Amino acid sequence: MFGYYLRLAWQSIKRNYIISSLMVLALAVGVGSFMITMTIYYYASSDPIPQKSDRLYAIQLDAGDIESDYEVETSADLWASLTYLDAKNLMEEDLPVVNKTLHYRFGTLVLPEDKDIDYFGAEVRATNRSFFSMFNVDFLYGGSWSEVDDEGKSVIVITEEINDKIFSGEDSVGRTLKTNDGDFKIVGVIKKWNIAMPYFEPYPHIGHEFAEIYTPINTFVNREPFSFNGSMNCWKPFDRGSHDAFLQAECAWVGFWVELASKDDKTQLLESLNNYTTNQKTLGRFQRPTNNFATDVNAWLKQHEVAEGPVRLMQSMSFLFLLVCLINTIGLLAAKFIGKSTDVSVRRALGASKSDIFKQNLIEVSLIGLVGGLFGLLFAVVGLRWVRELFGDSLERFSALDPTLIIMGVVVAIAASILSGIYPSWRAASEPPAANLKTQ
Amino acid sequence: MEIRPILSALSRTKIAVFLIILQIAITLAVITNAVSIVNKNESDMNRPTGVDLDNTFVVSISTVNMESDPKEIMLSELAKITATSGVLAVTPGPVVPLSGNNWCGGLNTAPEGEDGTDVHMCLYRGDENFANVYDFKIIEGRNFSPEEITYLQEGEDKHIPYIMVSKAVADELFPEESAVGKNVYDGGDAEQRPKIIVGVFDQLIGGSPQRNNPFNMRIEGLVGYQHFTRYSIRTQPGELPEVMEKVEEVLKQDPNRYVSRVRSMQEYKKLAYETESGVNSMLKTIVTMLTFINILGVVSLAWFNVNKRRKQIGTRRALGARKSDIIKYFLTENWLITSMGIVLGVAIALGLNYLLDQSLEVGKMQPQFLVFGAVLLWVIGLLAVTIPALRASSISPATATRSV
Amino acid sequence: MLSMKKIEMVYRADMVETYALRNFNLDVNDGEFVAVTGPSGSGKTTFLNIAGLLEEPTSGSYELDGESVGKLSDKKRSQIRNEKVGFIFQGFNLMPDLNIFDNVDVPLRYRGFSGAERKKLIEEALEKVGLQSRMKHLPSQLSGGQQQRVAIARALAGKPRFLLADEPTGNLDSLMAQQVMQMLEDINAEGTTIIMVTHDPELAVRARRNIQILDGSVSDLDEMMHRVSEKVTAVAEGA
Repeated sequence: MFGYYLRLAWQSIKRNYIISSLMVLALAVGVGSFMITMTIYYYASSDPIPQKSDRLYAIQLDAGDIESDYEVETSADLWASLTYLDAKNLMEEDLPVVNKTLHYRFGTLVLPEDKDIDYFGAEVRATNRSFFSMFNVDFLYGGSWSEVDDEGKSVIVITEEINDKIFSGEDSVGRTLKTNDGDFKIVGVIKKWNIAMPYFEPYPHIGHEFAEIYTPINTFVNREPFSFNGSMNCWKPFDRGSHDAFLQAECAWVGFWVELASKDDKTQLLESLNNYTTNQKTLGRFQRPTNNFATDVNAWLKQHEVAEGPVRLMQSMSFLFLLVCLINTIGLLAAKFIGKSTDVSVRRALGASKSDIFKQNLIEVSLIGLVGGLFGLLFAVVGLRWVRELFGDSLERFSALDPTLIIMGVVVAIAASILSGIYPSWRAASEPPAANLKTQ
Repeated sequence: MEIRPILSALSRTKIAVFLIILQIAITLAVITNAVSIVNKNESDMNRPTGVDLDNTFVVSISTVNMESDPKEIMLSELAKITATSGVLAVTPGPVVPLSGNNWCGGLNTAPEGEDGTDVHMCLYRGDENFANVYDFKIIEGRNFSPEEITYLQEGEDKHIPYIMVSKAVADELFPEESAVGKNVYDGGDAEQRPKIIVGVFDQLIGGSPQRNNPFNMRIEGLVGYQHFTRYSIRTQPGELPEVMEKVEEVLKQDPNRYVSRVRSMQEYKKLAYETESGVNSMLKTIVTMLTFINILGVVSLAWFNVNKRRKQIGTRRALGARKSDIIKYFLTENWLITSMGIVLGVAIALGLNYLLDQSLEVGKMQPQFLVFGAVLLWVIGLLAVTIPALRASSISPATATRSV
Repeated sequence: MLSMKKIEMVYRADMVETYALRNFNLDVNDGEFVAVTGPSGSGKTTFLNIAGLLEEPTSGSYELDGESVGKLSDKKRSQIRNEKVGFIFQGFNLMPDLNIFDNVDVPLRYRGFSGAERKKLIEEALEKVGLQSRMKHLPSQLSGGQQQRVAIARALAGKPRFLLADEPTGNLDSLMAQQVMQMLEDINAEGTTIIMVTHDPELAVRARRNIQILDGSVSDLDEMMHRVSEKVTAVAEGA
């Protein structure tokens, strides 16, 4: 029967091609615009590292000034990084974790030896060797640096993009990368990192640039002049002329993450952190109430409202737009089905039950939905390109349709059209069968 | 035209009418909120910045050999830029309006430990030319004199005694009196040395216009000799493109320097408001498409009603209704439906505005947008129904007598 | 074959009750050809709709082929309609988008026959009405009489026991009307029970049995005069 209904649906669509194409159009623009905002939302809110997002925790400590009158209720009320002093201490502290990393980023000037390649600015992330294994970074060549390198050797891990640019994609491990911050021995090249944004940043947001170079934090942190890109929050005066004083200062700028063996270890982790800050109190630090936090990856993204603001605004607007398109489709369908009420009555007289007619209508509606959905996808593809132009490169990693999104789009379109089709289909099916037999 | 018979006719197609009312209502809610947000974004984007956007640009530059002396480099570069024809003024400083970068820190009317008023603000640093490069007015006091500028070697820390503050900051620090000549204190200074406010300027926008109070700014009379810096340059009116090229050319002559970016303030502004203008474009598109979808809805419902009532219309005609009566009937019916949609829509619009304002701080809906939306929908409705109404009016009175 | 007892049919609209059928009793035997006549608005069509299970009576009992069909689900009623009843309408009611073959196919589809069975039945039915050569034509390409013959083929294709015809010749000229009538007589001769509503007395007399519906009740012709007088009295009393 399905094939028969499908044929009838096609015939009916052909007969009312104007109203049918209006419906397809309404569904397509509704679904398309919804898909565009859903795509962005999907990337902004999806779990960037599902394998272990519940075991990776960002650490926050309230080391603030006793005289500051801010209140901390949730982790969102506290700055998202640690002081260098605390980050360094925690690296040495015995925490119930399998791995820990600290990081900050700054800019450098890369000086390719090949004179045909222009100098270019690059973001450097200064961190430790655990960073790569903790955040599941895949290597194309080589690997992370050694423990000895971590003490402050001039080694470097570069991205595939830089490797392509300077070494035309060859294995560059062992070669040297020159920067205006000195020469570095390349130990590894990481593959293109397929995440929407650097979620491990203290303040992740859409459009965040990725670091392109990774070096041991100890290689840089002791250097003068100290260079830094990012958010720094200081709450106690210190001698700004002294680099040592700066490294000891009450200024938060280092991101700190730990990896737990199991998410059940979080309580122990917090206990250890509280122990640490309690001990620090004896040194005159941490005079405020204890407010230490460990936040897992997804909660971290939520805390920073990555998927809020314009993303949420456009999503709600496009949802309402889809709703209007659906209501409109219901109206058009009702008009269309009334138009063929004689047809329905004759079929009823010839033995079609209500449910036969309902099914036949619903299949027609679904067919329109399917076509509308496909056009909607097309619309979304074009629209996403347009949106990328509107918002600039910041949306580059947010605008590709992957299979999940495509399936979602088709499902949304069909669900939408069936939803809007149920009422008119039922109305048409439950018209009294004898109503439209007499007149023409 | 009598409304009661229309209402009773409408009540017979309840669901269809309810749907179109709902459609109009949601449309009104979306359109009014979209227009309200677009308007707010546009007024943000169009507010005065204190920057001569058309004639100002910024060069970002860094050093290849970090062993070289940044002071020597900067002094020679400032001289070269100043000597370039078409340059009105230049000032060095790493933070630039609308660039997305901010340096922020509070000032207090009293040193730490004493009671004072604390005001949060962000800051720029520059020399006495800063006030010539940017397009603000010093409304009280005066600009820095050259000898008031502090010069800082890389890695050095020095007290910065002379500052200017924006009017917004001055009003908050000293609401009752003039801020000029007053001492203020920076919490980040261990020694709590006083800073003197030499001038108050009307306004200059901060690095990120999206921050709260983007006009809470101070300018510190300070030049840091650093390897990475930016030069803000103002040109003779209309000469910006040529001057940008010339300056880049001049600076590139030093192989020890790398010009990473030469960007006009218009471009900075465009990038600073990329999200807002993107959101605006999307919202405008949604409003346009909604308008079309609505026309579609109104036309199809009217068409459907006309077809369903052919016989009835014919009868009315046969009973002496003029063409204009039939047209009036449909126009009135449409007007009634639209009006009901608008009443419901105003309620939904205010609800939606409340929700959006709670979560996204889009601001309160202004009544004129509701009026605009309502008028738009009335006009759309009446225009959309005209063609089906004309068609209805051309139904022949003979339809009534034709049976089967 | 068909037995209706005390059938009442009331339409309610805007607080006004209208009796379409009142105390309606009728028995039709297997193989009969019954012509139903009556003035406009007497309830002929309502009777036909109830007989064909398109409408449910407000009260009363209705047995079709020995089975009570008064209170059945829509699905069951549709199935009975599909298997036992064939409809022929004044306006033919062919599906304009479907060709002749597909039109005759409609009731067979709901019957759940296989493709081959359907093809055989369709060809048989069209052969019977002499239109097997027109299978690929659209209804609009046929004359009125041919269209009605297609409708007859469609009604007969599923081999129903029982044919309901509502003014089958109403839209046809007299020559074509004769042909259609002849066809119905042949079908009846092969054993199919036919009930035909008509206002054409010439056709009515060709049926084996004539009944008349007056103001919602049935009269066999011999009872007619009696009924009419009763009605006149009723009207006088009601007034």
